Amino acid sequence: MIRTSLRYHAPNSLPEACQILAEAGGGGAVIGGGTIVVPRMTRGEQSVTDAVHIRRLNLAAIETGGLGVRVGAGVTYTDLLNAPAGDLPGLLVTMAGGITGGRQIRNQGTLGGSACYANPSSDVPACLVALDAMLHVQGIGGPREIRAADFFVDAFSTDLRLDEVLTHIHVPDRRARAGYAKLKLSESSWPIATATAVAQFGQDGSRSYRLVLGGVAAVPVEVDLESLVDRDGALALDAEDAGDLLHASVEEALLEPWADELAPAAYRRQVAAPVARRALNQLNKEIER
Amino acid sequence: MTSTATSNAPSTVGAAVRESGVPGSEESHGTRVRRKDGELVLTGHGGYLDDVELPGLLHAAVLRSPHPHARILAVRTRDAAALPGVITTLTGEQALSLSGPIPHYFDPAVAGDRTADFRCLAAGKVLYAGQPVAAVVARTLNDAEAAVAAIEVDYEVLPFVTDEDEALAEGAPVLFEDWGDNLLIRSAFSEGDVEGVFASAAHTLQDEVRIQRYQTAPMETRGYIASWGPGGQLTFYGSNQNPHPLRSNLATSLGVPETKIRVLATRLGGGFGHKFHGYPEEPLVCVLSKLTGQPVQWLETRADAMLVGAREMVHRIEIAFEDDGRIVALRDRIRANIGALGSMAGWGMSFVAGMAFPGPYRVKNYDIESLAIVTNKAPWNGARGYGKESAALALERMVDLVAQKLGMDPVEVRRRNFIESHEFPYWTAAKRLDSGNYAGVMDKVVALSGYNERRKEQEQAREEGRLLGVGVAFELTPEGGDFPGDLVRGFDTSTVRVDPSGDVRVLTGVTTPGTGNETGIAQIVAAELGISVDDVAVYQGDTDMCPYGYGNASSRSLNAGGGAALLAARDVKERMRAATGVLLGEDAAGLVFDHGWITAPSGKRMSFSEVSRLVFTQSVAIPTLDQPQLESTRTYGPTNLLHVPDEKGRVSPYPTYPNSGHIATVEVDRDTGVVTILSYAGVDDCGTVINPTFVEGQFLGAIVMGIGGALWEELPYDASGTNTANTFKQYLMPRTPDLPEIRVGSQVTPSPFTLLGTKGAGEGGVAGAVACIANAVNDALLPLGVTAHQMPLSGPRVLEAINKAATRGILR
Repeated sequence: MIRTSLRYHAPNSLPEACQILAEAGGGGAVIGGGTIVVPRMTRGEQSVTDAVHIRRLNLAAIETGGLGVRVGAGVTYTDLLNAPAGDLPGLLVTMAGGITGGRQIRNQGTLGGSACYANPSSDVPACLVALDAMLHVQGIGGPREIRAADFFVDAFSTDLRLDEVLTHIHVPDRRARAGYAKLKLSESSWPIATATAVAQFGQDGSRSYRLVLGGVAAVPVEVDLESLVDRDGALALDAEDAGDLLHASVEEALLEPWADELAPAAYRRQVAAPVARRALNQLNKEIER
Repeated sequence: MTSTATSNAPSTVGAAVRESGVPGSEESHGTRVRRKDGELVLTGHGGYLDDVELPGLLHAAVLRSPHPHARILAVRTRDAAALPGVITTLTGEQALSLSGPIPHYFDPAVAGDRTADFRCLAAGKVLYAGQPVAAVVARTLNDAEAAVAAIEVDYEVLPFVTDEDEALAEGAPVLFEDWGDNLLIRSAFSEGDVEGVFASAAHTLQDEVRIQRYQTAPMETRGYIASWGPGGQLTFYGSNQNPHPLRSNLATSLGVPETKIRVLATRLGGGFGHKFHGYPEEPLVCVLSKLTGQPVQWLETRADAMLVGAREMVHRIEIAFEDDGRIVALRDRIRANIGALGSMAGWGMSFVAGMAFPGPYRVKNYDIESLAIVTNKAPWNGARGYGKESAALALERMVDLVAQKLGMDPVEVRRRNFIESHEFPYWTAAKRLDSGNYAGVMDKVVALSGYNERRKEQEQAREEGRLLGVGVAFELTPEGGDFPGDLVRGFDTSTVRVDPSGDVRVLTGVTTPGTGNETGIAQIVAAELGISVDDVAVYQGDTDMCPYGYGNASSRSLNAGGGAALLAARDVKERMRAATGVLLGEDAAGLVFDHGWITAPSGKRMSFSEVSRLVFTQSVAIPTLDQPQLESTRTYGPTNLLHVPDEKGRVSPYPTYPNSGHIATVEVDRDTGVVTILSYAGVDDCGTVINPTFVEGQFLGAIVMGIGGALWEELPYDASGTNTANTFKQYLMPRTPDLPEIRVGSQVTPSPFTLLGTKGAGEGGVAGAVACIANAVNDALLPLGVTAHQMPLSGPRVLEAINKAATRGILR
């Protein structure tokens, strides 16, 4: 049960929300879908004096513009799944469909909420880093933009200040081709390792690749793929030494593997490369399509 | 998951009840009557403990020790007591005079020479992280939990031990000082010349199987409400499996006449042994209610529930066998890490894990020792399987290793060792097996699973370098346990009572954890009286209403409660028969009870309800209509119980032995160790079946529970002696996408020792599933030359085994 008296706020404006959070100091908590904060309060793991619900802040829109798309902080996983085809990078839709917890969680949980919780074992952070997403936040001092790669500071820790609210996430290229692989121990398990492989195509036909691992470290881990790109700019995964090269790149990037009740660090270190390879294979298939 | 029932037995009208009490035959399946109250449960109107509303209900919260072993120096509740909404606080010292020791579910002193007292709150010393130390009662649960956080306790932290081997080592911290060491009890079971046969056998193998600490995780956690009346009567609502024994024990703890206590067992959202009595919170809510003068409720949180352990054992097992696959001797040294004992029913699982040997096999030489070792982990309670799953896993793993060593098919090795149908009743050191056709069950599951096809698929997959495994396992499940000396008995009592309307009430001492046994009992009575199941109401769980009984345990409800109800129904039927004879002017002996009518050979008939009404309204007034009592109470238990050792020193505390065969295929991901179950088939034989729907449902649920235990579920402890799995994100239960289609079938080999031929259903299947999945995973790993014997076989554990192959150069 929630042990402390708390004030529930549903402010009508962002400045009001930021003001409440500023006054609450460390006792404030932003509620998107509530799937994280509310159970944590119920279990006595988090003490909140002021819960700020974003439901009146009009943050639930998905808006395309140019090549990019802007996803409001209140957009649920179900919203992502129901968005018109082409409005979102396929990766976000794939990811949303695989969120652990089933329909109730997907209906209630939000992309932005998961980003702000920064659980190392969540699907979301690594996907946002791989998509080179920009997180837009609003605080008392005004708005800020934070690159996803800079947003995730540590396990359960972000660059957000106490008075700041995430308003939306901007993905620069919604046409990005991606491969996504996820390892879970069972259906109800948090992801143990995820791998997001993204290809972006320049106007000149050039390609660039990103591989970001999730679940295996406190924050998303970007892996250098240079050694796997051949002269034509393709990902050469069938080359004889591809496995070893990928393994070496992953080893180099993954300095401090995450450990929890479900899997020790050594396990994560070992499965990271095979999971990465699955994502890359999938990406190559996507590119060929 | 879907079930595919393959039994081709036709449904018959009414339950499989024999007028003579002669057990039914293979054709005597009962009918698929829909569960009474099923609609209420499905639509959320069933009503559970937390739905009980009493005026002035207060809420209790419990402060638990953060230390696994510590002396309590001081408990300060003043700040907590001053917080909003708080009515009272209670410390262990204060509780000493209010409630005595909690009687054990199974007192270990009945079987050995050691025991210990446990109270509702720890006083003096805590023995595990999570032990109740103090309590708060407040107007709301929120306030109560907030106040608990404000209680201050000074501890002197003591050295602790959580590993069973370390607990037995010289110089280990001792939990119960008067014992001198940490060994609660040694159970031993042996027959034959083990030394000699091991020395002369063609082959011997030895191995170790380690089973993790895990439990049953019922959907509804525990909860209790205590409410004292002005005359000193205590009404106790409990999410509990054994209301009458709980009443007796509350009377003892609280020093209150048993006649002053009424226990109401509310509808259970799962039991599985987790809701056996003996918990500290049971007397605690009574004391708190007494102190406050108002009803007090305590609800178990999921984290509280996950403190309750079970099953953690290591088997160091040896097997001797001949070239033809015959197993000639077994030796097992079992060590059970039972935590800090407690008054619940858990430690007995260590006894059963040893007693269950040598399973379904004709092994004449065996020497099994099981040690129940106390450690500073939270205590166990019973968990479906009750140690039988532990024995099955170790034994079935070894049988597979025998097959592997000899290059034989594991099905064939089992066939060569099964006790044959003509050998029953069959004696082992602590079991007299009632009846069985184990080879028949195996044949059926081989056919149902398409075993030969599965092997061909495996061959193909192995050529492709895939790790595909086929698992075979057989389970023998002793049921209906009867344990003199404690309130855990094999018999039970039922009343059958006819109303003037002709409606029938059954009041029984057995309770249901949600399995549908109330409907099964109604079927038995309805069939006997020739009336509709809808006209029979079954009452359970209210100690003021029902005859004294032992509740829900050991799959005994239909054997005992159903058998007693049948006997009582027969008494009532004879009185109805005599009355009808008088009323119709016909010979009573020829009357037939069917479809609500009582009919003479002449065709003259009277409805069951009309006869009932006339018995109530006209008895004595009509000459020779002189049996006005349409009510009978009978006690019944299976007859295969032997507590006085025979000339060879053998006893049999379990009367019936259902069994099942299991075959599954799995694929192991070589890169991650993650196991995917591709197919599963199980065939069970629980004797006569009263309602196939319920039996299949229980069997499917048991298989899934076994799968969860084999692959994922675990309650790990960290270096500080604390359980680290508190939610279902750390304790991974199987979900539908984790499961393949599970095909189930049945065989019926009635027990000659129960009135109906039933053997008990509900528990069976867990053991076979655990063993089957473990065998399948190990079969998948066979090409790598490694075994995975540390349960559960989760990705990390299996990958660890695969890595052993890599370091040996077998892989890549």
